Amino acid sequence: MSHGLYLYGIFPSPGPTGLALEGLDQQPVQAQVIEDFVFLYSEAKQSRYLASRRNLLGHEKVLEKAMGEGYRTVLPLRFGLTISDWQAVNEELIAPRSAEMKALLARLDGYREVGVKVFWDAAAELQLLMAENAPLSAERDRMSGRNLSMDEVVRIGQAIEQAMDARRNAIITAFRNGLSALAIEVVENDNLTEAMVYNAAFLIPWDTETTFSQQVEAIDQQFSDRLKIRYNNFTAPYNFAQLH
Amino acid sequence: MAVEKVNSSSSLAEVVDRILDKGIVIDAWVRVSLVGIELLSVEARVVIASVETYLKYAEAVGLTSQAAVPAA
Repeated sequence: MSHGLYLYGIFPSPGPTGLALEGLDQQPVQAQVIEDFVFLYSEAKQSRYLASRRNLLGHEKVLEKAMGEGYRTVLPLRFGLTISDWQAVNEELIAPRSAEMKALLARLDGYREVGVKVFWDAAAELQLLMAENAPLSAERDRMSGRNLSMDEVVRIGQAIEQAMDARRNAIITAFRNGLSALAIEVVENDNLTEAMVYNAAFLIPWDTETTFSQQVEAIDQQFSDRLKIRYNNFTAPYNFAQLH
Repeated sequence: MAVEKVNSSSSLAEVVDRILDKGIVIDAWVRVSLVGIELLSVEARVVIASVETYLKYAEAVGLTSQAAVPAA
């Protein structure tokens, strides 16, 4: 029984039509040209695709390999899209969205997405805060050893939280201001963990990645050894390829 | 301290942050099974209510209140 076709991404023609890539379920990746677009797809072997590590990374790997072969401009498709035939693509995507897709491809041409996730060690930051903030540490010392009321605990907890927020905001501002100037578009995403302080994606000219990378390092150094940064410098541009 | 360079296909957290809710989508084509998706929550979202946060901070600097201790 056929499960249709699994889709990976859309490239501008002539696009990656002759690449030997392996897709999900070890299926060969093929290219379908429709008007000015080239779709990478493979035969679907399942009715629904589990969002497993292998499948998620496998989908992204197809796009990264095509990008690595020089087909840098791509509209990545969300994980798990399958179609029964190309007529659906014509009717549901190309016909209503062709102009918007072309505009999006033109905007992405010559640019790349990079991502920065900044983490701190909250416990170490708190110790630093208490060491550096004399009024707060004096208040803590004054309250220490006493049986405190809930109001007192909430009050000092609140003061500490505000001071921690100020530290967090200083880090966010440094990265936001220092990196946004190098990008034509920025998307700030939710933090995914308690330790994550900043999570943003930047659309930058393709050839300026080295400069951007150096700037990430330079901002990190402003905070000596307080931060850990995950810098993603090669990805399909999910954050900037969205139809509205 | 340390800048770790990654690409999306080498990091599950990077790909999860993008591929499930961003990119081009036609809702009618989505064929995703979310069975076991919680296994992927390697970076689970953490939301802590304000008062709990205050108590947590006070405790972290060595302060506690009798009133903050839940009844046995």
